[in-house]
Amino acid sequence: MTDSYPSWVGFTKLDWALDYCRRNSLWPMTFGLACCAIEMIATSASRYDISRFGSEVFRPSPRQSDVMIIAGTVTEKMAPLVRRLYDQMPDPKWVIGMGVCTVAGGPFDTYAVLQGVTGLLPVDVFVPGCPPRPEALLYALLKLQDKIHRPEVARQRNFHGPLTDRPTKGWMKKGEEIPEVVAAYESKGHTVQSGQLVKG
Amino acid sequence: MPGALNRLVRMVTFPELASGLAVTFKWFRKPKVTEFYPDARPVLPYRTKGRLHVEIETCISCRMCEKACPEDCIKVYPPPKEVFKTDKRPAQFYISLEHCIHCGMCVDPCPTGSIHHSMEFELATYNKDELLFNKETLPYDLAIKHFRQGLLENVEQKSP
Amino acid sequence: MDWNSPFMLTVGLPLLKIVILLGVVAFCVAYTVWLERRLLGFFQSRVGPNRVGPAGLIQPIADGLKLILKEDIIPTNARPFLFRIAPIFAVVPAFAGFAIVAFAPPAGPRASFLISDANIGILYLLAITSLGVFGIVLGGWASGSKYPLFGSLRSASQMLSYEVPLTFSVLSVILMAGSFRLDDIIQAQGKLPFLVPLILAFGVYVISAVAETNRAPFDLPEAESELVGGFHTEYSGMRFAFYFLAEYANVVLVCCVATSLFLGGYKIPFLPYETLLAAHPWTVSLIGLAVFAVKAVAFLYFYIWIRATFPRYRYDQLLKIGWKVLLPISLLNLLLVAGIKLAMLR
Repeated sequence: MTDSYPSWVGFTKLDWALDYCRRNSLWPMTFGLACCAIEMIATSASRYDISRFGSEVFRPSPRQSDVMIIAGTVTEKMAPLVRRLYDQMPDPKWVIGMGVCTVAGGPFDTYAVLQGVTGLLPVDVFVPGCPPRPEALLYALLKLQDKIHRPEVARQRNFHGPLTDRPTKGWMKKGEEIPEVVAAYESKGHTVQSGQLVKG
Repeated sequence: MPGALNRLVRMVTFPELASGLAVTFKWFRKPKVTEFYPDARPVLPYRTKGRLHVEIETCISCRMCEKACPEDCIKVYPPPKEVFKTDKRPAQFYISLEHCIHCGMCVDPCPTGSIHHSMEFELATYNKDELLFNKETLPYDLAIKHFRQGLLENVEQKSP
Repeated sequence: MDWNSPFMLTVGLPLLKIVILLGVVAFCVAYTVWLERRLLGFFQSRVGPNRVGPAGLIQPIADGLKLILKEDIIPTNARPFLFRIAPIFAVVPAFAGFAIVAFAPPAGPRASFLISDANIGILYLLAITSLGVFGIVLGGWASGSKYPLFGSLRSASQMLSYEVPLTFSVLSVILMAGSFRLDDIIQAQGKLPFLVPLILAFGVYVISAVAETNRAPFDLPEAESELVGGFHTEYSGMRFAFYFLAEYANVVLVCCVATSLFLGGYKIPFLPYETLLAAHPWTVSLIGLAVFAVKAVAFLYFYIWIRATFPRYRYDQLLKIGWKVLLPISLLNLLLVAGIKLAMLR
């Protein structure tokens, strides 16, 4: 088999290209449930501009959308509708759970609110916050793109590494000590040990 | 008659539409307000309520934050009594971001100022178990986070 | 290969031209989407898609490939056969309209930049663009759902209403040029583009064309706030991409036709194309093509500018504008043009 095609032919290339297309045109659904939707709208507005990642095409119909941003509290009454909208989306589809309500019910510990949507939908990326900042949602979108491109990152526990295929300028890895910061803190009488601030 | 003529002229030339087009063209020519988030550091307000940081070294295990938390997302385990007499640092400290709503009620009663909000907002995870932070992960690279967001000067000078 | 054989002249050469034109038009349509997204970003004080490839240039390719790879859903209530062929009904007229558009002056007897030099070009164009409504109506009806049905009904009445002022404004151009051939109309604008004498007809044409192509501020068939997605609510994947393609192909077609009818086509005023053509046919042809493209893109910019500026009209307002404002204006304009022509003939 390996002799039947030249060595420069790689089967992963098409996959790479298709994943590149998929992750760069994630069209979200126009779908807001609570206050997190306001932050979602802010994300698509001028200052944070989700369109830079090709995701500003908020489709009104679930048939044409790729990613569902569950923005807010899911009540027991709304849950079947959320599930139905998710079922109406064509594959491949992804879900971003935005806000602590989607993680574990958030501040609403009542009989009327779903305590986290994991029992309802398979959530790909959780964004904690009440509500999260627009940048936090953009970071979640980048993480989702990373997951589409390299599914193995989602299997690692506590994966906090940098988003590898998107080199970002001026960003540090976690646990990396920056001389300027250490000097700034030490000049004020603090000490920094292995990336942690220790009050002096 | 001049009124009718005026109306007719306005009906044909649409001055309102032209003024609307002028407004959008003005914004077309202006510099854009977009922040290039992943490439550039976002400019956050200095009282941004990001993830809670706890400086375990100065904590005295008084559990005031645990009592103040409306979501019960903080759990403090004080050390055994013999140790507590000399070393008051908690044996274990949990903050669950699954429930934390970043309200800041735990920050006010803290007698030593060990618990406070950071500027860290990149908290998205693939797995919701990773949102439980413990003694080791809570004071995570505060200095680097602040430097990364270009807020070191702001935080040091403006915070009361 | 014998380029002068009757087979090549009647079948081979037109087929070759059609294939090239289809490719070029599909490319233009894809990058019209990109241009629209970037320009809308600029109008809204943001930057638009800029991370996928240099300046976001790979964005339309990514979108297209993704849409083709998506799951193709046919709802249970839909009529499967009509549901499948409706997008094709929408796409084919949009692309067929390009057959009579003269993009550049002919470089030789067999090297013209148009597929069919029909002497009833404008009539063909009006007829074929009216067929586009079939795709929308069929798609909305075959979806078996209420929102697509409402969207397609709205679309049908809107397109029928605006067909009338559009036709009248085009008729005044035909009166001025004295021919139905698009090339003759362009030749008649050698000294002065029809934009200047027929400014009223141009205004009517722009408004009706925006309504004909279902674009903002007349995008009522796909009004998101009331009708979910309008006639393409139930369409997913490649079939939705077909509707997308048809809409933007119609936009490009309207830009090309407006350039030909009102902006002077490939002509620069007072430039003697005929004498220059005899000397350097290919150079002048390509310059004409570039002039045409610049004019068409300028018109496209205006189109997107309109979309970025105006909010959507209410449905009754839309029909009121069509029947009570645009139709009398276009009729008046036609009468004026006919009277002036008659006076000049006397």
